[in-house]
Amino acid sequence: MDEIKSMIINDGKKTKGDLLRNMSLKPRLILFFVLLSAIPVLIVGVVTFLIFSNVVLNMAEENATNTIDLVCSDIDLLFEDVSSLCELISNDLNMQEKLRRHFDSIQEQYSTDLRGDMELASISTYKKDIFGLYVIGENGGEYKSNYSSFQVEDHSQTAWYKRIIQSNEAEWFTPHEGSFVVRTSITDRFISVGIPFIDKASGKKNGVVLADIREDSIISRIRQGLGQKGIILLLDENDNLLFSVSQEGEPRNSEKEQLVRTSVQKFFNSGKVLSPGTSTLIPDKENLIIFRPLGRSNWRIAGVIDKSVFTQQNESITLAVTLILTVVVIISMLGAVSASESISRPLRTLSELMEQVEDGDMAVQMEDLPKDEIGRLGKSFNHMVFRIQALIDQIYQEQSKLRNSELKALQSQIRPHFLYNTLDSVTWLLRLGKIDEAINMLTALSTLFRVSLSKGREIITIEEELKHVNSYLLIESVIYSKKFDYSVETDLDLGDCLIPKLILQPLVENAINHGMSSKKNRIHIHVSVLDDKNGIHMSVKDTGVGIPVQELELLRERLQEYKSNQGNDNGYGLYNVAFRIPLFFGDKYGLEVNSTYGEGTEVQIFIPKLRGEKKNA
Amino acid sequence: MTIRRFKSLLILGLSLLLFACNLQSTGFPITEENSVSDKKIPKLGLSLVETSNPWRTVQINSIKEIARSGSVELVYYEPDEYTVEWQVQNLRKLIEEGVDYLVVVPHETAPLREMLELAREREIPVILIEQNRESIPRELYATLISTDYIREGEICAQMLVEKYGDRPCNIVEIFGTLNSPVTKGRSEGFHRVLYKHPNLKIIASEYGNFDRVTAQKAMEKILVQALDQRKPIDAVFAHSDEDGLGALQALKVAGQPVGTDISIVSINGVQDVCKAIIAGEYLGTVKSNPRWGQIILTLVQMMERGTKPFPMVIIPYRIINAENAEERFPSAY
Repeated sequence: MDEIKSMIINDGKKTKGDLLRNMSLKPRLILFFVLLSAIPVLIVGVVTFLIFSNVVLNMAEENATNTIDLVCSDIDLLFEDVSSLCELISNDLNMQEKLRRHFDSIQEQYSTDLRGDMELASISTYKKDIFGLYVIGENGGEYKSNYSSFQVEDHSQTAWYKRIIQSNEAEWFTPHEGSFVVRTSITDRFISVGIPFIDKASGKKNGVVLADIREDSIISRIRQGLGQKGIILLLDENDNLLFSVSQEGEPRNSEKEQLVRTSVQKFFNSGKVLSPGTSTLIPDKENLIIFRPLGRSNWRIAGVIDKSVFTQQNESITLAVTLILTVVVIISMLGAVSASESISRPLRTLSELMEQVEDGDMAVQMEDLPKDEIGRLGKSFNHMVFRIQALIDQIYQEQSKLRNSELKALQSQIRPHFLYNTLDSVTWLLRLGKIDEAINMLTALSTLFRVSLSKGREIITIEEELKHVNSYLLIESVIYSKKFDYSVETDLDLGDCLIPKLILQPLVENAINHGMSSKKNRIHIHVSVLDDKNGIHMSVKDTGVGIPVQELELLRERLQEYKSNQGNDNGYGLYNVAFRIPLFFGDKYGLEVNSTYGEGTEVQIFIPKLRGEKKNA
Repeated sequence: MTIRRFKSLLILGLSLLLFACNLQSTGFPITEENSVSDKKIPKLGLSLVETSNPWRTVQINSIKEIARSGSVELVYYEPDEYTVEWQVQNLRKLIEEGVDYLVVVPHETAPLREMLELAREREIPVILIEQNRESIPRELYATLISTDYIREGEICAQMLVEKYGDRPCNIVEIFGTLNSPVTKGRSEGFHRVLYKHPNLKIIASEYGNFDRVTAQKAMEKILVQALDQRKPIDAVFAHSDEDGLGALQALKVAGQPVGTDISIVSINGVQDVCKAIIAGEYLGTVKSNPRWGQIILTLVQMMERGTKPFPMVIIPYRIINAENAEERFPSAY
C-alpha cells in the first residue's frame, strides 16, 4: 500500500515538474512575469488597503464619537445655562423687592409689571436660545423677558406652577405645545425649566421662575453640530423619548429609536452607573451609541450613528482600490505577454527554420536578427546551414567523381585488348592440348570478372581483392608466356578487412606494362598485404627496368596534382588508385612510388584497418 | 362718498363675521358633508414677514387653527429674514409648490406685483390681508381682508383732540415700516384730523418698524433732538402698539414723566398696552380682532363652491382707553 502511495505521490510530482517543463516558452515566461509582478502588486495593494480602511474606519468612528459628544455637551451646557440663569434671576435684588412688595392698586401692579418686563428684556437679546424667562409672584406680579402676552388665568392654580412651588430644585418640563405662561404660536414646542422663587427675607417660596427653550432651537443646534447622518435622542429619567432629531430630510426611524433604547436599558440593567456630564460609549453591533446624562436635569441624551455609514464610505474606497489594482494587474499582464513575446518570437522563428532544415530545405536563412544572444544564435544557425549546404555540395561532387573513376577502373578490366589476348591464349592452349591450363585460365577470368563486379559493391574484403589479383597475375603470366614470375604475400588474419575494390590490380598491371622490357628476360613481381601497426600496408614491387629519376619526379608531381585536382581524365591505373584512396580514407592516406632506375619499382599503399559488416559506403 | 362706501363694507364684514361664528358654533353639516365628499382639502399658502408681536401671533394662530380643524391644508414657512426680498422668494416657492389659495400679508406692495401676476397666471386666487385697496390692481387679488387703516388713524387723532382740546400739542409720530400700506393708511387718517386742528402738530417722526426695540431706539433719538430744540413733547402717535410700547420704554428709560404729561396713542390692542393704560401710562389704543382664520376659511369655501367671494371684508374696531381698559383686559391680545 505504502509503495503505491509513494508512487502516486512521485507521479504527481513528476507530472507537476513535467507540466512546467512541457509548457512552451511563451506561457512559461508569461506565468513567471505575472507571478513576479502582478502578485506582489496585489498583495501590497490589498494589505495597504486593509490597513488604510481600518485607519479610516477608526478615524470616522472617533470623529463621529467626538461630534456626538460635542453636540451632547452643547445641549448639556445650554440646559445648565438656562437653569443657572433662573437661579440668577431669583437672586436678583430688583426681583426680590418686586416679589416681596404688596400692591395697593392694579395700576401699581401693572406699572411694576411693565418695569419688570423691561428689566428682563435684555435676557432674550444676549441668550438667543431662551425663548422667554418669566417670574410669577404670589403677590400677582408677573414679569416676562419677551413681548408675548401673558395667558389670562390664575397661574397659581395651574399644574406646572404647583409642581415647581412644591419642589426644592429645578423642575424640567418635557416638550409641550405652546408656552405655559405666555401666548405663543400654537405649533411651537417648548422645553421648560422652573425653580421656586425664594424670598431672601423670609426664606419662603413666594413665586416661581420659569424659562422656555424652543424645541426648534435645540433641534437646529443639534443639526448644526451633527453634520453627518445620525440621530440624537433626548430621554427623560425613565428613558421615555422626549424627542429625537435626525438629519433633515431623513425620515424618522422609530424602529431604530426603539432599538437604541433597549440597548441603553440593557446597559443600565447590567448595573453600570454613569456620572453626569460625561459621555459613555455603549457597546452595540450596528450602531455607535454615545450616552450622556445631563448635568442639571435627570434627562439623558443619546447620540446614535449607524455604523453602516462608515462602511459606505469604505465601499467607495474599496471600489477605487479594486479598480486601480485591476488596471495595474491588467497592465502587468499585458507587459508580461509582450515581454515574453519579444523573447519567444525569435526563438520560435528559429525553431521553425530548424524544422524546415530537418525537412531538408537548406535554403533557409534567419532574417531580422536582433542584436542579443538570440541574434548571435541565429547568426550561428545561418552559418551552420550555409556550411552544411556547402559540405553537401562537396560530397555530391566527390561521389560523382568516385563513381566516374570506379567506372573507369571497371572499364579497364574489360578492355578488348586484354580480353582478346586472354581468349587467344586459351585458344592456343586448347590447340596445344593443354586442357587443364586452359580450364585454369578460364576459371581465373571468371573469378576476375566476378570480383570486379562484386554485385556492384565498392568495398570488398582483402581476401576477394587478393583472389582478383591472383587471377589477373595468372592470366597475364600465361599471356606473356612466363616472361615474369610472381609471388603474393599476405597476413592471413587480414582476409576479412575491407578495402575499396580494384586497388591492387592496376598496380600489378602497371608493373607488368612498364617493368618488363626486351633487355631483361624475366622479372619478378611481388605483391604483399601486411598488417602494420596503424593499418594495412600494401605493396607491389617489381624487378623491372625502374623509372629514371626525372620521370619519377614528374610522376610523383603528377600524382600529387591529380590527387588535389581530383580530376582530369587521362589517368587510369596508378592515377585512378591515387585518386580513390584519399577519397575513401582521407588525405592522410595515399599512394607512394619508389623506384631505382635499372633495379625496379615499388608502389606502396597505406590504408586504415577496417573490419566488419560495412558493405556499402 | 368714500366713507359711505366704507360703512356699507363694514356692515358686510360684520355680517360675515356673524356668519363665520355661526359656522363655527353650529358646524353647518352641509359644508362638512361637502368637504368629505370632495375629499380634496384645499391647500392654503400663507406668506408674511413680520411675526414677532402678540397681535400677529394671535392672527397666525387663528389661521393655523383652521388648518388643524382639517378644513384646509396650510403651507407656511417662518421667515428667515424680515425683508420684502425674502417674501418674494417665499411667494415663488409657495406658487411652485402648487398651493390652491394664497394668503398674502404684503411687507411692501410694489416688489410683490410680479409674484401676484404669476399667481394670476397660475390661476391661484389671492386673499390679500391688511391691504390698502388702492395700492394693488383689483384684478391681481380675489378678495381682501383688512381693517380700515384711515379710520384707525383718525380715531387716534380724535383721542388726542379729546384730551388736548384747543391747547397746543406737540406730537411725535412713530411710523410702521416704510412703504407699507398700513403705515400709509394710518398716517393719512391721522393727518386728516390734524388738518382740522392746527393746535395739534407733528414735531418729529421716525420709523419703528412695528417693533418694540426699533421703536424704542427711534424714540430715544427723538427725545435727544427735542431736548436740543427745546420743544416739549406732549403726545406720541404710534402706528402699532409695539411702536407705542417702544416709545413708552424710551420715555421711562429717559426718566420722562409718562401718562400725565405725555400721552401715547396707538393701534392694535395688545395686553401690554392694556396694562399700560390701566397703569395710567398710556392714553389709548384702537383694538381690532386679529382672529381672521374663520373669515379666510369662509372666503375659501365660497370659492371652492364656485361662488364669487366678497370683494372685501373690513374688520370692525373698538377703542380701549382708561374707562374700559380693566373691563377689556381679558380680551386683549
